[in-house]
Amino acid sequence: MNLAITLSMIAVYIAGLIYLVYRNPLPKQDFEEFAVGGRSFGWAFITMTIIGTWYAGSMYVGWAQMGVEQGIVVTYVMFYTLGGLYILYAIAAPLWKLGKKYGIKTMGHYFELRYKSRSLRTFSGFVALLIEFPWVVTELLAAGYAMQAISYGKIPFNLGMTIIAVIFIAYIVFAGMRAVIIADFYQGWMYIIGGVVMFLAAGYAIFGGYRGMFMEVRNLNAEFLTVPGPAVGWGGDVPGALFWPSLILMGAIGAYMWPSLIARIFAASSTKELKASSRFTPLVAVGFTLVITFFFVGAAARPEFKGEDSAYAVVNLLSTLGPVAVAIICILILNGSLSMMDSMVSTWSIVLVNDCIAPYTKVTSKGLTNISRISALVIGFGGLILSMQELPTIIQMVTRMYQGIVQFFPAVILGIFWKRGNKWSAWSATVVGLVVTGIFAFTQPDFVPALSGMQGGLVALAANFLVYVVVALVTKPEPGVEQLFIDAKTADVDLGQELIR
Amino acid sequence: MQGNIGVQIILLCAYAIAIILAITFGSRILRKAKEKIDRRSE
Repeated sequence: MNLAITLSMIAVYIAGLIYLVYRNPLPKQDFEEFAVGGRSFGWAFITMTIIGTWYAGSMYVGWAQMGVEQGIVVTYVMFYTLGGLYILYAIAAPLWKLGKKYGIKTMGHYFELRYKSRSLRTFSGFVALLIEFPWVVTELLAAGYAMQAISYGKIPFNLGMTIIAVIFIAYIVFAGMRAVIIADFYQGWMYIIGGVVMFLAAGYAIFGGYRGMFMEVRNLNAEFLTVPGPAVGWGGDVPGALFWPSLILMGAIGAYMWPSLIARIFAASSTKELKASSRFTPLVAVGFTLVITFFFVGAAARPEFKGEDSAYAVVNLLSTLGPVAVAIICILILNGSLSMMDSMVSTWSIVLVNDCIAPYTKVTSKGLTNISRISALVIGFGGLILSMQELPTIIQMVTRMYQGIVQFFPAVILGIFWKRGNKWSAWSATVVGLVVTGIFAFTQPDFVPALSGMQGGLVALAANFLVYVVVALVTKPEPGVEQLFIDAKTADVDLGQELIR
Repeated sequence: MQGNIGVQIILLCAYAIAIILAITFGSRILRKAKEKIDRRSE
């Protein structure tokens, strides 16, 4: 009976997703449609796709573990989500305008336009892919776990991962970014309604409300409700005063440097739609993040559900409510995994073609679209095969390089707002930032004890900014930069096509 | 069905509403956009 309920629910969920995506093919087979959905999506779709891409499936495992083991520190997610959205608000309009006028589809493409450096375009594409790739492995593992849990162990782990991989790779090949944004729209509703109701109801059913939940946590260990700092840590492991703020700062700055998120800007139909999305997204994101992260902290009050691995404590706790709850939490994990993986794999296939192939060859728009499709197949199934292996150390080390993505921030933000920057400043600053990040990633824990718990990536970012400014001041600005700044302010256009609101 | 029946009914409703709203709004918005594009191209 329980198995029939959970499997029926996942079947209906997947059927609904397939129905919505496959009823909407590409209007025409060109790269503009495949890569940025024809720049035709309105605020509702952009909001949902940002939310869908933002919340990973692994958060119900990884962030849940952080909440259960370290308490309130996990709420850093809410602050950096807000910070990231503010940065999106600041950069979205000028980037969109340049994107529309010059056909930009990726961050690397913008670098070539702004810094007149094709090699920087290709380099940033490769490095961003390398840094982001481990996420797909993480998400596939979360999906495999969810499929196993929803079937009460009947679907083997690897088969579960394969089913999910086939679903999202198929719709990427079908309609690229257009399919991904439509799928994200569908998944966003499940977050907003299914997710919020799930955690609120569970809070009341298990703890008698969020108030009772926090009381239980406080009675168990008040340290769980204290932000770690110079005097408070976890069992003597005191990270330092700058640990929590640096977690938030790194998250916020890096948020929209991920290729899969920055690509969302170019899919919007106008700056007006982007701004409308920027007003609505923070409300949804903060509400959802608060409800779930508080519940993760609350789960610390029930240590009996930690089992062998505390990462599964929240899933174990929710499962006590019955099979419908098992199905919903597993669907939420799959929802997160699908929306993140489809965004990443589609974006990488586009970045690979747009930044690493197109600048060096003459291929038709249809040809680029087909190469993107093949790339999505190779990257997606490559990730799947890798997920089935015993992960080599190098992958674990590369996972720690996530702080590297932040190192593109100065070249993007100063490139938009400061005319002095040029290819020499962008190249040197980015390389210095990545090298310093690498040194910290391979020699230090997640925080640097000698720097009061600050993350190494922030030190690298400071060096990055410094190098950019110094090199820009001692070299000449790029020719034509004045016109780009005018375009970034004024180039708002009538698309000549309908908005998909 | 095991577990907390009341909570599960609420969850089932939330799940159904999420899927219905996603498909209804998504289809409607995309269909209207397609119709307008088709009309323009005629």
